[in-house]
Amino acid sequence: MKILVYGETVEWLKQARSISEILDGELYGVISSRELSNQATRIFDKTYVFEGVKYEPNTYHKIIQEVSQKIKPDLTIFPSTIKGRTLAGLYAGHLSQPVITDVIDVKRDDQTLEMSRLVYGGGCIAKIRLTLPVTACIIQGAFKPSDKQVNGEVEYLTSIGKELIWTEFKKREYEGIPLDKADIVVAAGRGFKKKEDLEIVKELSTILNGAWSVTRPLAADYGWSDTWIGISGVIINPKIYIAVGISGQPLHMIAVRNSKTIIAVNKDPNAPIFSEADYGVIGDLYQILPRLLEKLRKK
Amino acid sequence: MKILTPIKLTLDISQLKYESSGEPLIDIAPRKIGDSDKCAIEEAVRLKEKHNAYTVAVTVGSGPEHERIIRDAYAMGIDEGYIVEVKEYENLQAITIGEIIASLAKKTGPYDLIILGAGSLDTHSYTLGPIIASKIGVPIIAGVDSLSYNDGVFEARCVMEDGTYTYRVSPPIVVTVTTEANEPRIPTLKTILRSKKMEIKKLTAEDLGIELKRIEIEELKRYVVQRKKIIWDAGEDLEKAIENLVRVLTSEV
Ligand SMILES: Cc1cc2nc3c(=O)[nH]c(=O)nc-3n(C[C@H](O)[C@H](O)[C@H](O)COP(=O)(O)OP(=O)(O)OC[C@H]3O[C@@H](n4cnc5c(N)ncnc54)[C@H](O)[C@@H]3O)c2cc1C
Ligand SMILES: Nc1ncnc2c1ncn2[C@@H]1O[C@H](COP(=O)(O)O)[C@@H](O)[C@H]1O
Repeated sequence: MKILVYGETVEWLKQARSISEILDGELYGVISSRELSNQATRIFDKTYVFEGVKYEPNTYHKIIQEVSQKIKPDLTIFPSTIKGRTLAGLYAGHLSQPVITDVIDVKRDDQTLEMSRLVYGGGCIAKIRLTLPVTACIIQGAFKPSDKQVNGEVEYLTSIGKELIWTEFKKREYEGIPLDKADIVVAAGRGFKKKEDLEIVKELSTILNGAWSVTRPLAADYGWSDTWIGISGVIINPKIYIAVGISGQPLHMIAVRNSKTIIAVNKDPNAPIFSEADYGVIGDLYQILPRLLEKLRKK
Repeated sequence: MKILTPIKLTLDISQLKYESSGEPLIDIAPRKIGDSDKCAIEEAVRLKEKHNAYTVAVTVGSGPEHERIIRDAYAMGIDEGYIVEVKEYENLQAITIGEIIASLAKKTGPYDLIILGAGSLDTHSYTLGPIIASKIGVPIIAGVDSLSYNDGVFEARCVMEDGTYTYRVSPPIVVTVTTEANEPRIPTLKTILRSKKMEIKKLTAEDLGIELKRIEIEELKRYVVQRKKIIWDAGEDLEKAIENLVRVLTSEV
């Protein structure tokens, strides 16, 4: 079985390696940076590298499709990010293949694949069976990265040309540690009354040597931050995730479920977050956080 | 300019209830037009007001609720609406829905813009716009937070995982919008009354020459995660709760 994967981070490429081990397949990768290629050739049986074009879905898809024509994969996987889903839709549409998103588990049974995917905003899990070839978007963090090393081939794709449509990119600048790299993430939800109150969350993340973020309403509706954690934002897999004043809606939780430990602070004992937390404190964040900071500062 | 907006009847997942066995009670869950679909309609109607566009909506599915969402679209200002009648539309593969919409677009178009929700409330796949684009053979811009149109060029801004992308492209294109794109208008009594009298055109997948491919769901249940669920009540003992938190924070890293 041939598996083709598109990806942008080493962590994800190693997760793809795990999937290929589960399915007992050969793994082909297509990546968009030379920087990644040293590591990629140890993860993929064969790596295709292209460079020099900004991400633009139509252009990237054309390149991935070219690689696909050479390999004719049985399974093509993308990360379940917005970029990954967009590429997957173009790709599957072009090949008239089934495309499944939010996949968290795969099993192989001869010519069919059984995939578990999240549905209803992450509240439910559906098991579906599909006949190959298939395109799938996998939730990052659902599979443990594999450390198996191979001695793969590499091919540089030249004659890529320019973006098919006019594109400008402004990279996100992080204050402190990037969210997806932090061991500890503290996030604020609508339990916070004003933007200034987030200072206490920032301070807590600094003292814990971690990163901070918010739920979507705080970013998208109130404009208190450029990014948020969730299905439509950033997906994280830290050692500790601390949710403060967050109710725990599926579209948010889907992105934090791979955290090793989840801690919640919420004044509502019935908040759904408590049923997905390892540790929780029922109480007013405006009372709890200042006291907690005080104690931690003394340590 | 001619614009097509595909809209979907979605489960209102915030109101989804579960059997004690963990099975979701899908049949009794309320359904509504998706939030980002409303933003797509709003964009279409704004283009109608500013640039004299002619706007068409389409939904794939069957039953009175699908008529209702087409009337919702009329009440917001859409000019013409289609229902492609398919029973049990909820287990259609995304690729089939994409083929149906692309085929309808070819039959009733050509369209300068096909604009739809980036992801629906229930499946949230983000793939339908790209599938339609590839079937029609026009570029896609997906996950758009802000869209403008000037001198024959669309400019779209998308906030993604790694930063902000701005694209400029001339029609024909497919665009998917997020719920950040705009604040959808609330229909007035007058537009609601008018929407009730407007005709809804109906077609079948056979009329469009599309073979229906479905997803076989073998099991569907609530997603439960095993967690320790150790909860302290600060109302009972604030200091104790804080101490416990500090202990967890210093020992679990
Ligand atoms: C298409 C779509 C995509 C979405 N994507 C995302 C996403 O990627 N990420 C995301 O986060 N959301 C997303 N959402 C929104 C999501 O459905 C929820 O609305 C959101 O996660 C809720 O945020 P919240 O927990 O901050 O707010 P709320 O649900 O309002 O919860 C606030 C919580 O704070 C508690 N609280 C209030 N005051 C205090 C206090 N003084 N002390 C302690 N606790 C207090 C309350 O008890 C409550 O539980 C999406 C929605 C849609 C429709
Ligand atoms: N059955 C359908 N009929 C019309 N449009 C649909 C249908 N299903 C999905 N869509 C459109 O595709 C968008 C994305 O849906 P999804 O891929 O299911 O998340 C929705 O917001 C709708 O605009």
